Amino acid sequence: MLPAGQVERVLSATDTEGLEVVALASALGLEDPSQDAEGRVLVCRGREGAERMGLKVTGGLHETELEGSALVALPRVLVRLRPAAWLAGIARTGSSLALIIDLAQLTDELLRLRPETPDAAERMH
Amino acid sequence: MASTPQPPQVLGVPAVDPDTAGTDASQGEDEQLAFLLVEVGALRYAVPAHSVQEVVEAQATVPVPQVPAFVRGVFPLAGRVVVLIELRALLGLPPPTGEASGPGRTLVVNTEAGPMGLRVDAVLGLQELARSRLRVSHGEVDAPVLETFLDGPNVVSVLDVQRLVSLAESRVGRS
Repeated sequence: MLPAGQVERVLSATDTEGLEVVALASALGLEDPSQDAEGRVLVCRGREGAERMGLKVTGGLHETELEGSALVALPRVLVRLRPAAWLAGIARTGSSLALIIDLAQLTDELLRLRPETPDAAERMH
Repeated sequence: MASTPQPPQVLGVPAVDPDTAGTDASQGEDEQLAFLLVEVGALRYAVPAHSVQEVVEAQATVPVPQVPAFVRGVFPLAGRVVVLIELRALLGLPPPTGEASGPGRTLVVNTEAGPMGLRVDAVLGLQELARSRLRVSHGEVDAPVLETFLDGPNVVSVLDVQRLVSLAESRVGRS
């Protein structure tokens, strides 16, 4: 489950306006079942800067509202196992659960971890 | 002047002192202990019954990315969210060979970090035995098994659920 407030825009995967795009599934460390170009790209911005990144999703996007009581903090046992920093919490929807991803945190992490471009390397010197 | 220690209270009601609970003279060598016996592969383990909140059927879990493989995911239980740990994998036991081990059962145990689900192959039942039957296990210092006992021909290892959490923590980044 993704916080809608952290998505600036939704683009078609076929026209990403030159934005750097990463498949959301791979960014989360999951296998990306769909390698096709179809899908949509969520434009997200990290907390640390103005730089944006595109996160490609291939499933359907549905907006939903949750009451505060549906939001559950991560269980302490799980916290002790040091999950990824972008794992913000858990949403209870009916009898099922959904992980809540902090897209700003994830974007920061992806921007930090991306291979350094030649331009960036040049600027360092 | 030294103050006299006051008995602990919770909301004004006398309560058990957690530091001294279970150390009174009535709990001597022959104290009867209750364990839930479980099976993981060919091995038998005993979980102190007081640590077990409940036993539930195998749970469908929501997988959690980027955590050790022994974490199967999270599942809802009575309004709470519980982490399910595959006990076999946490203990470093080999995966089942031949026939799959089946869906198994889930023990929900109380740890200092909250409830934790432990997936085991089977729950064999409740067993009471005298403390004097326990033998100290000479495993690793931080191992989750401190004691063992004999149940017929089987050696049963007593699991300390707090140490299971510590073991899981220590394996983060190594599994």
